[in-house]
Amino acid sequence: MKLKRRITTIIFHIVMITLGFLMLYPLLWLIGSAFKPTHEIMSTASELIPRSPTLENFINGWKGFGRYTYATFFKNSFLIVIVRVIGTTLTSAMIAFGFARVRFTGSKYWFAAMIVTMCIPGFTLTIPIYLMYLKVGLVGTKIPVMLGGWFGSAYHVFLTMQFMRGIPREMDEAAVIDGCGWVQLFTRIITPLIKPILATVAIMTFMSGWGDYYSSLIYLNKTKDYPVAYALTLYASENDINYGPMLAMSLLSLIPIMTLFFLFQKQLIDGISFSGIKG
Amino acid sequence: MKNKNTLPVPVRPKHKRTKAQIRKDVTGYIFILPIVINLIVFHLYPLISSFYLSFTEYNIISPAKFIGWDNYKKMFLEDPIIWASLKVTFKYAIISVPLSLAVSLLVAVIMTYPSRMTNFYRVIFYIPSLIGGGVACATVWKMVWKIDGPVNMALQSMGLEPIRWMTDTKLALYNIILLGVWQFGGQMIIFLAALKNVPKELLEAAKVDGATPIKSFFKITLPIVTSAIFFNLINGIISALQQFNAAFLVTQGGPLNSTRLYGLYQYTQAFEYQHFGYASAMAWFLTVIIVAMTAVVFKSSSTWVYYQDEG
Amino acid sequence: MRHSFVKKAAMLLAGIMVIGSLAGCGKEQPKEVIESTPAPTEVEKEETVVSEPEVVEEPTLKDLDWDDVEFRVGWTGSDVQNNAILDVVEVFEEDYNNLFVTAEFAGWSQYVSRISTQAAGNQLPDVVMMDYSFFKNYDDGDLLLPLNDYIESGALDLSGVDESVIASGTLDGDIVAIPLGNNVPCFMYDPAIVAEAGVTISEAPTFEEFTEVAKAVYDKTGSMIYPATSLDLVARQMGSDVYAGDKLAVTADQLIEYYNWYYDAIDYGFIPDFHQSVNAAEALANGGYWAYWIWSNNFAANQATANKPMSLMAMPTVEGAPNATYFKPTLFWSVAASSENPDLAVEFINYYINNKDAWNAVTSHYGVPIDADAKAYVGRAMKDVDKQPLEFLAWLGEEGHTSPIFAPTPAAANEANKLLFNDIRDKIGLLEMKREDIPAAVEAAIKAANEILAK
Repeated sequence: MKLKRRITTIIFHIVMITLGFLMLYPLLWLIGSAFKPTHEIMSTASELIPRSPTLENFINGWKGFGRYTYATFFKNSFLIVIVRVIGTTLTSAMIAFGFARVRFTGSKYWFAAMIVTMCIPGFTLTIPIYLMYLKVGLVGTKIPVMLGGWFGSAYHVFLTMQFMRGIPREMDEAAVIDGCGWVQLFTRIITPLIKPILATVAIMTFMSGWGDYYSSLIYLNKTKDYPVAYALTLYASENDINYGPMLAMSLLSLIPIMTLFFLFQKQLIDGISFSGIKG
Repeated sequence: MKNKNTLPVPVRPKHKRTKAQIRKDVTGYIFILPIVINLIVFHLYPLISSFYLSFTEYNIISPAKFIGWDNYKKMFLEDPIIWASLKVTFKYAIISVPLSLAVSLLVAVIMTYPSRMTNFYRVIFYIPSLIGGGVACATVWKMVWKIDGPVNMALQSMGLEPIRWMTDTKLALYNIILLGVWQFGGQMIIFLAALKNVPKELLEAAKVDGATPIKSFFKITLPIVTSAIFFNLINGIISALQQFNAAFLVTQGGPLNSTRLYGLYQYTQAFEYQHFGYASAMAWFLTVIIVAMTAVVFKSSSTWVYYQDEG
Repeated sequence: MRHSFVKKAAMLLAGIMVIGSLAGCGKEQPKEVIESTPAPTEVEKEETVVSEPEVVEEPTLKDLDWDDVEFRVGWTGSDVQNNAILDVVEVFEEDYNNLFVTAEFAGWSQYVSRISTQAAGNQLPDVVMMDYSFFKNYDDGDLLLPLNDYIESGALDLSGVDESVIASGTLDGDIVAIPLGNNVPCFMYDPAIVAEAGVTISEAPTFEEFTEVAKAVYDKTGSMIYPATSLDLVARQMGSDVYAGDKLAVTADQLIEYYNWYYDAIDYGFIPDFHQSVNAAEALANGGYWAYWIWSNNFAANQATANKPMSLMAMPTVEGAPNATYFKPTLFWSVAASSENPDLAVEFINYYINNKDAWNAVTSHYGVPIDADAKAYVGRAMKDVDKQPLEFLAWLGEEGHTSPIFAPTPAAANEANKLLFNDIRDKIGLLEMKREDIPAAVEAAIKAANEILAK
């Protein structure tokens, strides 16, 4: 048995490593290229390892624009994203609870409407929404960018609902018998049980917010408000792309999300299991 | 089980709601208040506006000109590209959605294999999703698959002919599909969380009873994760039909329009040809299609999706 | 039912908002342009009371206090270009009390999305960058301020600028766009490879001569060319502009001639087919390409990639036809019609064109400066490799190797071009078109294009 186990383990690791390498190759290429001088990047594209490694792309890239370095851009990114994460996570839990647990009149219709919003291509909504923000004087500020998610995000609500439904209703009923009101049911019972999926929502919102440049493109004017995602779009002129700093800064921008994911995934996967009834 | 027919059913006049129900309603609406605001302010108004725009000729820079049904007439009767792009998009969706689901589920299941390296592997499989869909990602992807890029070099070192991944009209679409599937990390995470729900004891018991891993996967694991499959399926369909980034950044719809997805053609109409009104009509058409497909999946879900809160 | 009231109210509100906003999409009346605009507050009021005829200093914009005034300049560029203009902005700010310029910039592919959204809300920046390919649309929408009066009064000093350059930014007599710099489409080529092949080529060749040389070079060295990639240039090489007003001007024969040439070139070998996926940078460096089509303002960057001495030649033109080469403004500065501070906006543009500090900051990043003094100044300060395009443009002008730029293209041009050019050229390049099918393809494309243009 031990031998079989060992062979299985070895096969497992081989498969994982091979697949992992294939999955990772593009990232490795990105890393290698970031350390190559710009004019070498394309001409030595097939070689992963730089012939003449240099830090110039990072140094030049970090300088950013005008008086603002990437330090400012990273700060903005963190600010925007954290606000969004808080908003999305909070509202996802609330709204999902409302739909999944509270049997109120009309919930089916609002749920259906919410799902329908996911089916609509976003670009047609951009201009009318921009005009709305314009009317209330919010264009040019960070607020439209940070508001994303505070009014619920259909995808994340839906996701949270699916997981909430994995909690047996007997729990609710037991809690109610014990004298719990709705709010207590929500905060004391349900929320702790859905921590893993809320962590997932947080990570996903962080990631998508981190890479979102479009809302900055439309709503931000001042350089000092730019987040990293937007700054990364500023390397292409009409006729060519400045690959060196672009790849270097893209690489840097991956570090926070990768770190976050690595830290969070323990919380997420090793979280509490749905064993309420047994306990 | 109680026989429902023997219990007296209290007769309630249809209009009267019990106090308890009213309290539930108020509570419910308070909890979903954010999404109510969202739907009315950020969707209803823009949708009406966008719907109106679909009946106009609008180049964004000058005021919109009302043209009645012309956009829709053009779309259904005069524009062959709409149908061509729909065909490409459907092909893309039909292949990438199931493939992505299968791969992410499979990898997630494999990751439940007890090993200290699991955390590390998980990150590796999630990294492609982290790279996002921007210019850097597209640049890298093109580098990897070009005729003298690393993949073809590897093929050549094995004695095979290099393949025209990106320039062959028959292959380019599959290349983009691969790009989408490569970023399966998001779906995988959801499956991983769902797999936590599969009681280990059940699997152990099955093993003791002599079940093969495959059999216990299909009989035990799969039914429990159907809610996650359902979620990933719905979102997979919705996003595959709207796919734009890959076609725009990597292939620009080429070669010879073999990757001209509906989302890309929409963008082209809106921003390159400056027919924002027509693009709005296109958006509405696509919305109807997506809603229809989603509704079908939702309806079918009662037969194959299992939720623990339904007892 | 409970919801119906809410829904009805929402729809009514939404309806009002829709109508209101769409009405507001139109042009706002520009504020009155008065000499000393009252928008910023005055720092001091100087009054000289004299018994003799008064000598009153007219308060200039530099005397005013610009604190709390929103003044925006918007443009597009690569990171190098962005930083260049940011330097200009910084020095410009120093001349005006408490002025803070909101500097907004975007990458090229995102720029049009951004400014068209702003246009929808009448929110263009005071000074906004335009491109030849779309500035006509903005002018048609009455979004750009005509600058004729400012130029006449000297507030915008274009005395050192060529008439034809100013003309390129003029629509129906209104000067609405001022070029940042000039550019020409041209070929960068390696004279060493040409010499190695034992042939010579003039710096303003005919199309026929160019083809002969390309074949000879390919025969002797295997080096290839990278041809022009837009229909405008292709048509001009064949002797015609693509459009005349709203109609097609290029003929089927001219297109067929080009596509036959293109097909033969690929067949012969001196143009690579698309499957070869030639990496341009690599090919430049190792001699894979000996002639490479560029815009002249990218010469320095491309020469650096090639890492050897390169020369410039004009676009080849078919024998007997007007010169294919033309001066193209890299990009334009315009003033938004909705600007509340048009005078300051004009002063900014004036500063960019005429001020030494601005020349120092931008050098030739946006092409050859349009002002004669600027040209001379920048030319003196530059490295030899940067001087080449400058001298090349001067030579082209002197020797008369250019002809005027084509008029701004009709709105449907993008769509028509795809049918007339991209679809056919790609098919040939992918080796999926037979030579004998080219005429039929061209005829069909022209028919389709005409239908699109007719709308």
